[in-house]
This record gives sequence, structure tokens and C-alpha cells, in this order.
Amino acid sequence: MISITAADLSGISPALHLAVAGIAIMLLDALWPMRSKLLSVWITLAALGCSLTTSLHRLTAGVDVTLFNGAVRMDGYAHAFSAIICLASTLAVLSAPKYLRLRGVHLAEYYALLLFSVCGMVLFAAAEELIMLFLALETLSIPVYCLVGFTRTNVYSTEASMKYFVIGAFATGFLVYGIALLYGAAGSGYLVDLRAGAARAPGLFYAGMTLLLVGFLFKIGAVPFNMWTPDAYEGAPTPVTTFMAEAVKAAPFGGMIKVLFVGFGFDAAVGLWQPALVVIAVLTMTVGNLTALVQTDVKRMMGYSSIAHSGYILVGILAASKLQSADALAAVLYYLFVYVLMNAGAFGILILFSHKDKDTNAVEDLTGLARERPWAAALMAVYMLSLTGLPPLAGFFGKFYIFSYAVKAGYVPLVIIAILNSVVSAYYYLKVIVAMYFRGPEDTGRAAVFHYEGYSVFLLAMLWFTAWGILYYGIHSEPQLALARLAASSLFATAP
Amino acid sequence: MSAEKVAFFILSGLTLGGGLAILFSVRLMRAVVYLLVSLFGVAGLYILLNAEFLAALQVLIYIGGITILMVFGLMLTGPGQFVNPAESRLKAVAAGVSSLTTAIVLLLIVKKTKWPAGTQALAGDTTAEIGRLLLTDHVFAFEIASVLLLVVLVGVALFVRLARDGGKP
Amino acid sequence: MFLLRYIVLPPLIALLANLLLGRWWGRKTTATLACGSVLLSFLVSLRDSYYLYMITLPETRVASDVMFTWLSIGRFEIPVEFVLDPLSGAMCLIITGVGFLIHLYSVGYMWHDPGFRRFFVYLNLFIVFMLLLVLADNLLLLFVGWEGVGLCSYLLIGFWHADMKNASAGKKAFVVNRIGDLGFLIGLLLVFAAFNTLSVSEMQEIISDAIARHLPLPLAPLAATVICLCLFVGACGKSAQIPLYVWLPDAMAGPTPVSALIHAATMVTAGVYMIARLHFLYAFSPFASGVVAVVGAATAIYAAIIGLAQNDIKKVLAYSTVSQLGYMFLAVGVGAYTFGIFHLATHAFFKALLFLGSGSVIHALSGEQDLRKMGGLCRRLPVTFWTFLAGTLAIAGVWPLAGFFSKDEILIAARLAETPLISGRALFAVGLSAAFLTAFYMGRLFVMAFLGPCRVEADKQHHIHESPWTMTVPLIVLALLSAVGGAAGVYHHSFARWLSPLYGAPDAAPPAVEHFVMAASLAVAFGGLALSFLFYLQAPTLPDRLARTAGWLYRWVAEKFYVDELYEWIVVRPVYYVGVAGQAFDKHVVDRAVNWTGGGLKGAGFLLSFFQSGNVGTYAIWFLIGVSILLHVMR
Repeated sequence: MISITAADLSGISPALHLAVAGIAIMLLDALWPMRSKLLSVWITLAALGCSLTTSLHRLTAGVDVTLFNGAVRMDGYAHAFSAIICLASTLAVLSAPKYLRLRGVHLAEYYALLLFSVCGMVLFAAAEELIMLFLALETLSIPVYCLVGFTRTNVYSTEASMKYFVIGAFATGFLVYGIALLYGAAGSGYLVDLRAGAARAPGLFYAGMTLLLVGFLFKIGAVPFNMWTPDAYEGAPTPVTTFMAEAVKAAPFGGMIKVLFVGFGFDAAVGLWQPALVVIAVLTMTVGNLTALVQTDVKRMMGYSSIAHSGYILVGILAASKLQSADALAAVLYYLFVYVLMNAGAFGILILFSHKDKDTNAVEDLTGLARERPWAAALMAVYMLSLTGLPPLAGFFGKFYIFSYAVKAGYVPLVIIAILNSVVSAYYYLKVIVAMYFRGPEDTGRAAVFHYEGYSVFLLAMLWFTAWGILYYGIHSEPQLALARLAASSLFATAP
Repeated sequence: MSAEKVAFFILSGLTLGGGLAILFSVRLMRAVVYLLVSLFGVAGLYILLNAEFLAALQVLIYIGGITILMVFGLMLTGPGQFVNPAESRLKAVAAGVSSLTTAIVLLLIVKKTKWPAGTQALAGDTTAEIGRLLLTDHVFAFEIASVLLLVVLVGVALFVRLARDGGKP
Repeated sequence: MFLLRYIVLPPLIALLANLLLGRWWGRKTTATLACGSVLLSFLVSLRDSYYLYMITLPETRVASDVMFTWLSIGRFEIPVEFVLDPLSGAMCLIITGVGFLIHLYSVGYMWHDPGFRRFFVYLNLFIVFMLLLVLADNLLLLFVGWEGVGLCSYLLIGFWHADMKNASAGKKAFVVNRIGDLGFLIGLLLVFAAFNTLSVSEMQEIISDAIARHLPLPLAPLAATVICLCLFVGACGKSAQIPLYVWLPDAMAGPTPVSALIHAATMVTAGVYMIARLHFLYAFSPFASGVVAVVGAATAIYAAIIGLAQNDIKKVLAYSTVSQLGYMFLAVGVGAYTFGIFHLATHAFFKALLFLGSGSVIHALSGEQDLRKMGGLCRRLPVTFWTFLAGTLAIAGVWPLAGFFSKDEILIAARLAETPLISGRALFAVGLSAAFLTAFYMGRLFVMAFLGPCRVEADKQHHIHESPWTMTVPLIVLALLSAVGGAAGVYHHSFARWLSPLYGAPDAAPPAVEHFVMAASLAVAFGGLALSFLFYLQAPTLPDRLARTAGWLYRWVAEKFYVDELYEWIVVRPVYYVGVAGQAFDKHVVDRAVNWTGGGLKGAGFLLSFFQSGNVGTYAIWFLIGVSILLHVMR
């Protein structure tokens, strides 16, 4: 007897929309290849919109259901992550069509793969069991490997895809090994049962926990598992980099936080992951920021910057675990939300000025942008200043919430290191602003290199929305925080 | 020494030996053959664990499917001997040391672990049991696995298409 | 009925209008909107301050205006709330008043600049953030203003970005300020951890409540010291104190009205304001206050010495600003908050005047800033000359101009101060020496620019002209303020009484001390001025004239020359070399330390990027090393 009920299907609908839309796009492409491109953009947007609104609606309504015999749980936490991820993916999709068309790779497969990946992301934060967790992680990763190599003619793109794939498979090996060890220790794959393993077979449990953590840390790009990030970011087509920098970045935190809080818990007996994460957070922030200082390529720089931001988020996770407060976890969710907006915008500007033969990637390429395209430069400045953490932009409050909870949790040295790091980061974000505002072609001795070949409505909508969000949610963060708090408290309801 | 133990050591030897041989073989074709040996060892170990269904799957999918696919791939790619590119010695040493360290730490952990004494024997037909679980408790994982496989298919088809059309749709 | 939000709104609306619609109207409309909005803010703050003054009970002279709930941290809500008390009222009046005059001046100064509209948008934005800073009750909102003014300053320093030097000056300002902000932010988080609120009024209530009910204070002395020191680091960055002053002299690359408004009158005083606002925290930590006083005094004399050896007219004024800010910190460090703010106000008048005057000179000389290529401008630029004279006398501390009174009060307070770090006498001595140097370098600047023979390059000679009325009117108004502002403030202690709800009535100093300090400061002011006139005006021409007259006079002159030589060797040369050494120290050690820090970080970055070889095998090796370490640690 196959045990799928209608309630299961309706409960999982945020993920279901996406998978079905992905399959629909594949079919459409086979049946009606001439018209499928633009149509698939709309289908993708519609599916993401459906998932987004469903998730938001259920989040506010407080829906909390356990589905498929306990394999998946759609509670406030999962719905919140689903909403963040769908928003991030929508922004990434909006940035893609023109870029792909200019390079002659505007294919329906792009959207199908992206949707499958998003489906995996939604499930990743909802998984209650290790096998589900693993499958969701792979479903979210494998399409991204393909997307990175999407401009096949570009040798960098292919190389980046290959590297990302190989090292990703390597990391997956450790993750699976960890799952096996944890299962061996706990005798069950369900997250809530994992803690029992610490008493039954402590050695196995800790080894399993470590290896599972390694798999997650790889995904979020924490040091020393971060090496793939800049290569993949640089080589990938810029809309894919956008997708990677926000959705693929935010999603792993969904599963990771859940496994840490629900699976491992905070007792001294099983809470060994906390001190390890402190060291990793410090390393991640510092290495990310320092290496970003010397980059001349914006995409690569943003890759390192994303590593550094992972470090800040780890600080938030540590604070939430120490305080065991939903408020502190809400700060992490808010940070992720803001992070998505800032990154989408920054890459969006690069896409706006990329043309057929050459991407606008180098910091130098943006020289003198403020004179030629003042609005675009102003938007980019907003994104960069928000990433620096300048009030009253949303990026500042993301950091401020996280740091203030970390101080409350007693991680003062950690916060001081984090703030020092954000001072260092000011330097390289500023490089972009200096290039745009304070330099002209006469300084670099070459003609203006950015290209502007008309705009795409999708892209412009995305840029304005993100900039508006950064300004508006900085001043008016309360509604977002309230939602985040709702989500966080639903996770703490299940945590020990 | 019981027969089971003897079998265990032989099969482990096959698995590990095959793995090491892959590492040190210079020609790719030979490496594939060693992989086959190693996978056979694993299949044998499954049988020792009373997991006949898994063993059968291992033989069918990995040995019958994947390694054969690899051989085809190598043969179809063109003539010539496929040789592992030489790595720098420093890197080889670093790789060896880091892998050995990881292995030793894991071994120490395994050694320290008190294994739960009597493992419960699986009741009867493992094939039927796995089938039942896949369609009840793990039905959703089963479904997601099919999405995952679809993704992989799409990805492969896409790469072939992009390579063939030179990036033009 | 208070209209606090309407203090902030007019410039905001004007800047939005100019930003969005400005391209459809001309410079006149842009200028009218920008200046008019600031004038409106000034009038509203004047009205609100008057209403505040009309409240009979001084202790209740506080008005607040909640705009909306901004955000919440946990269960604590932070509203966007403006609070007007005597301190913020005074600040508002200075910002909008001086701000309006400088806006007006800029209309003339920037008229031919292609970035006219952009300039006024930035300038209005600056006013908005500055008002936000002083009106905020919540430290977080204050921080928003704090960062905002920094951003505007950075944008305006690099305004003429065709010159790469300006861009890097802007960048330097931003990065150095970020270092200061680091301290500020840590202080902010620690305050939040200690008080569970960031509202200044709530913090004050918690403390007075604890004192009234004999409860333990929420703050251990050590914690108070740490918090105060962290906040002071932020103040050092913003207000250019040792060791974070390096950005301010470079910031002179911006247009001169910007130097006047941001880097002399308002923004750089934000650090002083912040400490004055949080005086109740500093009251808990004599040590931190002592540090503030010592750093302030050290900066006052150090910057004054460097100022002696500068030849760029704006650089002299920049170091002078750093030095005067040192005075203000000295004042707040020894607990004389009233006089710190008083000096802030008078300094805003005369330093804005001096900058605008120097701008008028630069404008007249087609951009020449080198003092050695000026001279004899007194007849060509009469208005500038007379107003500049007022400013020079005011900053030198000549009775009865503004600088005399405020500096005098600070020196008295320093003389009577008791800090755990250093004796009041030492602080007084340093302050007095700095006052002497101030008079000297200002006299030198004045003589070199306006008196003596004209050394202007020939091609620039013919179009030396007095500036248009939009530029001279602000000069005249500021000159009047510099002349009478100080006397008005001390008349019946009116300024001190205005601030007394915050700081209490100031204690009367013993008359003996008062008279001694007054005499001493007057003596150094006149001495410094006279010496500079002697060296830079008399000495070059004296010999020729006197040689033609009687013989006994000639001998006297010869002897005089001998004395001059003596002075030259005993006083001038050493002072000059100390100045040069200070400058060299500044350039080679401090700057280099700043650059090295940056360079060191960059070097670390390069080193780290070696790990990023691009080779997947290497990545896997690092990955494995990470795994084995983690496994080992977590075992």
C-alpha cells in the first residue's frame, strides 16, 4: 500500500509547485520548442510566486504539519526558509533572461534545473530525517553544478562547473559517511532521536556529527572548506552566481540549523559543536575578508565576501544556541533575508552592464559609472554600503541584531573580531564605490568598459525591488522580524 | 578461525587492495578493472552481512552498470593510452599524509567505540522488507530520489546538447 | 507644541526635490530650495528652543516627538524619537544657523561648478543626518546620523574626483572613520548588554533610579571605563583626535564650504557632543574622563605645533581645527561640559568664518592655496580682510572676541581639574602653550595672506576680485557672531544657565585663579600675535627703512637684527624644526602606520590567496586536513 495522502500533498505544496513546474517546462520544451523560452520564464515566476505566497500564508497562519510518516515537517521554520529561498530564486530568475539570450544559451532547461534545485532547498529545511536531508541536499546541489557550466562555450564556466562538481562530490562523501555513523550510533535516522546516540556510542556519534557538519560547512563555504567558492562564483554565468550567492547560500543554513538545534541540541554532553563552530566562525570571517581585500574581480571578491558573511551568520547561530532564544534565531533569519537582497542587487548591476562578448566583472570595469549611469551607480552604492554594514541600511541591522545577541550570549571577543572584520570589509566594498564615483577613464588610461545595451524589465524590477527593500526594511524591519520570530519559535518548540 | 572470518578477511583484502591498486595504477583502463575488483569485495561483504539484496544491487548496478559504462566511455573517447597525469611529489605526500591522518583518527574512533552487543537478525526476506519500507515510511524519499535522477538526466542531456551545438540552441 | 520633526524634514524634502526634479529647473531654484530649507529648519529650531526656554521649570525642559516605531530587538522597541533639550537645541541652532550661512556662501562659491546640484543634494543630506545625530534620543538612531554624516563627508571630500588625490583622501577619511566606528559600535553593544536599552533618557532614568533607591548600579566601574573608552575611540575617529586625526588634514581636498561646514563647524564636533550627551556615563569613570582630557590636551598642542610649519592656507586651518577640537575634549574630559559645548559653539563661528574667508581668498586667486604666493591682499579684498581679522583675533583669544571667553573658561576648568591621570596644572600648562602657538600660527597666516608685499603670481594678479554678495554676507554675519558670540554667552552666564538642566550650574572659580588664567591667556594671545607680526611682517622690511634714517637707530636696528637672529636660532628655528619634525612624524610614521596596517592586511590577503591555487586536488587536501583536525578536536 502506498501511503501518500491528500493531506501530505497539500502540506508539501510549496515544494510540489516547483517540481511540477519544472517537469512542465521540460514537457513544454519538448512539445513546443519555439515558444518555450519566454513561457518558461513566466511559468518559473508563477511557480515561485505560488510557493512564496503559500509559505508566507502558512507561516502567518501558524501551520505546523508532519508529513509522509515523519519524513518531512512543514512548520513555521520550514515555511520561513521556503519563503526566503523562493524570494531569492525569484530575484535570480529575474536577472537571467537577457544575459542568457545575449550569449545564445537561453534554454528552457535553465529554468527547469533551477526549479528542481529550489525544490531541494525547500525540502532541505523541512527534512526531519537523515535520508531526506541527504536527498534534498543532492537535489539542490546537482542542478547548480550543471548551471555553473551553463555557458558551455566559455572554458572558465566549464572548468568552474567541473571543479565545483568534483569537490562537491568529495564533500558529499563525508556527509554520507557522517549519516551512516550517526545512524549506527543512534539506531534511527530521525533528527529527534539522534541525541540518544551520544550515550549509546559516543565515539561514533561525535565522528558522525563532525562529518555531517563538514558537509554543511562545505555548502556554506566555511573555512577550510571554502576553496570552491571564488572559483565557482567567478566561472559561473553571472545570473547563476546570483543564484548561488543568495539562494544556494541561504538554503544550507536551513538544514544545518535544524540538525544542530533539533538533532544535536545544546547540552554540554552533545554541544561539542559549539566551540568548534566558534573557531570556524573566526577563521571564516577573517580569511574571507582578508582574501577579498586583494581581489580585482567583483565576482571573485563577492565570493570571498560571501565566505565572510557565512562567518557572521555562524556567530548568530552560536548566539542563538547559547541563549536558546527564538529572538536570537530570528536575527539570523533576518540576516539571511537581507543578505539575499544585497547580493541579488550587487550581481544584478554586473549583469546590467555585461554584454555578449565580455562580462563586466573587474572592479576597474565600473570606472566612471557614476557619470554615465548615475542611477545604476547609486543602486550599486546602496548595495555595497549595505554589505559594509552602514546604517540605516538593512545590512547594518542584520549585523547589529546578530552582534547584539552575541554580546548578550557572552561572545564578546567573537563580536569584537567580527566587528574588526566588518571594518576590514569596508575597504573592499569601498573599492567599488571609489571606482564608480571617484575615478574616470582618465585615471585608468582606458576607455569606459562597461556596456549598456538597453535594459530588461525583469532585471530593472529586480534591482529596484532589492534597493527599495534594503532601504525600507532597514528603517522598518519590524514586520520581517515578527515573521522571523514566529519561524524561530516553531523550531525551538521541537528543540530540546 | 571460522570460515566467516576467513571470508571476511579475503573480501576486505579485495576491497582495500583494489582501492590501493587504483591509486597506484598509471593507466586508466587498469584502474577501472581494479575498481571492479574492489566493488566485488564490497558485494561479498554485503552477503556476509546477510544483505543479499544489496549485494545483488551492487553487482548489477555498480559492476554491471557503472564500471562497464566507464570502460565504454574510455574506449569510445578515442585511441591512445589514458594515463594519469603526474602530480607533483609534494602534493602526493601531502595528500597521503592528510588521508592517512583522517583514516587513523577514524580508526581510533572506531576502536574506541563500544559496539552494541547483539545485532538483531533481519527477519526473513530483506528484498520484501526494503520494498515495503520504500513504499511506506520512506515513500517520500523514494519520490525525491526520482526527482534527483530526473535532474541528473536533464543535466547530462543538457551538457551533451551544449557540447554538440557549440552552445547554440 | 513643539515641531521637532519639522526641523529635520525641510532639508530632506529639498534634497529629494532637487534630486528627482532638479534637472528640470535651473540653478537658482536649486539654490533657493537648498538654502531656504535650511533657513526654515533654523527658524523652526529657533521657535522650538524659545518654547523650551519658556518652560518655567528648568529641569523639565525636554520635548520629544515620536515619529514611528522603528524596530525592535527582542522585546525592546526602538521608536524614531526626537528629543529636544537645551543641549540638542543649542546644537540644532549651530547646525542650521551656521549651515544656512555656509549654504548661502556655497551658492557663490560653487556657481560655475558642473556638479552644482549634486553638491547641494549632498550638503542638504548632511544637514539631515547631522540633525538626526543631535536630536536622537536613542543611541542607535544617533549612530545612524553618525554614519550618515561620515558618508556625506566622504562623498564631499571626493567631490572633485577628477583629482585622484581627492578620491584617496575621501577613502582615507572613510576607512579611518570606520576604525573609530568600530569602537563606537562595540561601546553601543556593551551599553545594550549593560542597560538593556539604548535610549539615553532611559539609561539616565535607570541610573538615577538606582542612585535614589540605593540599588546596585547596572554598571561596574570597570565596565563603565571600558564602555566610555570604546565610545571615545569612536569620538576620536569622528573628531580627529590622536591617533585618528590623520584623515582631517587630507580632507581639505574637498571644496572649501565643505571644510567649513563639515570639517570645522559641525561634523567633527560630533564626538564632543556625544561625550557631552553621555556625561552621566563618564561621571562613573574618572579614568576614562582623564584619558579624554589627556588625549585632548595632547592633540591640542601636537596639532598646533604641526600647524606652525604648514604653507597651505587650508592645511593650517585644518591643523588648527584638530587643535581646537583637542581643547573641547580637554574641557569635557575635566568635566567642564558646559564650556566644551561653549567652545564648540564659538569655534563653529570663527572657524567657519576663517574657512569661508580662506575660500574667498582661494576663489579670488583662482585656486591658489600656497601662503608663500599670497600677501598684500588687504586692499584688494577688503571685506574678506576685515572679517578674517575678526576671526583671527577670535581664535587667538583676544578680548573681547568669542575665542577669549570660551578658551579662558576651559583653561580655568583645566587648572582646577583633578584627574587620576595627570595634574590640572600640567593640563593648564599644555593648554596655555597651545594657546600661544595658536595665536602665533594664526598671526603668521594672517600676515602672510593679507599684509606685506604681494607675492601673487603675475598671471593671477589681474583678476583678484572681491567675492559676490552671497559669499560676503555670510562672512560678515559670522564675523559679527565671532565678535560678540563669546561675550553674549558669558553675559550673566547665559550659556551656562541654558545648559544647567543637564550639567548643573557651574561652580564659580576662585577669583585669584580666574584672574591669573585670564591674564596669562591674554598675555600669550598678544604675545603670539605680536611675535608673528614681528617675524613675518616687520623683519623683512624693517632694516631697509631704518637704515635710511639716523645712525643711532641704525645701530639699534643692527642690534635688533642681532636679537632677531638670536630669536631665529633660539625660538624660530627650534619651533620650526619641531613643527617640521611633527609633520614628518605625521607623514612618515603615522601615515605609514595607517598604510602599513592596510598593507599588512593586504599582504595577509595575498598570502591567503596562495592557498587558492585553483587546483582541485589541493582543495581536497585542505579539505581533508580540515576534516582530520575537526575529527580530532570533536573526538
